[in-house]
Amino acid sequence: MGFSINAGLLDAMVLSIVQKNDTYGYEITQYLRKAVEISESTLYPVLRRLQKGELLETYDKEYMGRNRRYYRITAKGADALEEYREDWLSHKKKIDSILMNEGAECYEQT
Amino acid sequence: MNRLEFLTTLKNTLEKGGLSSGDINDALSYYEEVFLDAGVSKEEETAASLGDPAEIAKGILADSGISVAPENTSYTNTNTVRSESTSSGATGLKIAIFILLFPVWFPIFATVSAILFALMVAAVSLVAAFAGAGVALLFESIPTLFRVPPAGVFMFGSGLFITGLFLGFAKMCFKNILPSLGRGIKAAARFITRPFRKGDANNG
Repeated sequence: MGFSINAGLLDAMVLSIVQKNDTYGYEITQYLRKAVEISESTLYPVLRRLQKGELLETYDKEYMGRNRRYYRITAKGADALEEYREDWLSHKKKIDSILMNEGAECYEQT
Repeated sequence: MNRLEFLTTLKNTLEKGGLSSGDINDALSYYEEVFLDAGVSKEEETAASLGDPAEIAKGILADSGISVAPENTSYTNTNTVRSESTSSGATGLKIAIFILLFPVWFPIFATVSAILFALMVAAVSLVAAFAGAGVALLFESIPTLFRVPPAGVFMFGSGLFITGLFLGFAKMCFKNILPSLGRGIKAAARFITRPFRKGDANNG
């Protein structure tokens, strides 16, 4: 896919994945790969940033004799995600109005 | 490159960059987990998809506000000694600059501290003066009240007024003015030692 994903969009997608279920780094990357080319190395700073901003928190859970770090969304993270979703919708409409020649009349449908 | 080689390079580069041990462990356990989740038989493949561990480490360092010097761009296991000696050399240089610049920073620090300390003393004296004047007027007004009643009443009123001023000012002085001036002196000291301590933290 030829479009680049910016940091804000990546943050939003990670928040959305974690909101559905508490999950761990490797699985988050697998989900993201459905939409974007991304490696675990790209994800690491994203997770750190979200943790520092207290949008995500972590806990360790034992899995096959080792610890696996799970990520959980915070209340602040859920608020941020809602905001990201609203921003995305308005962004998408603006892009579509140009790229897909969608006029103002289409706005009511969504 | 297998898991161990990847993690070793990552760890060495992060340590050389002076990242805190908590942050280093966080990164190492994250990447270790990735290798284990991807499968033990796929170590080489996983390492290839993750990319160059030295570059990853530099990215982590940059996110923590540590910039890697250009001459250290090619981190390998062999140049550990050289790189450590240059970074400790940099600290030595910083200490030398700190000492050599003593004639510059010491007078500035001394002046700022002296002014702030003088303001502290002035504030305390002002409080003491109000207290002294207020209490003295109150005491003096009692005998005057019997001798010249109007003057006594006036003195008593003034005494109350000044004592009231003292109470209000003393509260403000001890709660706000003195602590903020003290913070000012501390901030000045911190400002002067800042470049020196930053170098220290990078090596610790």
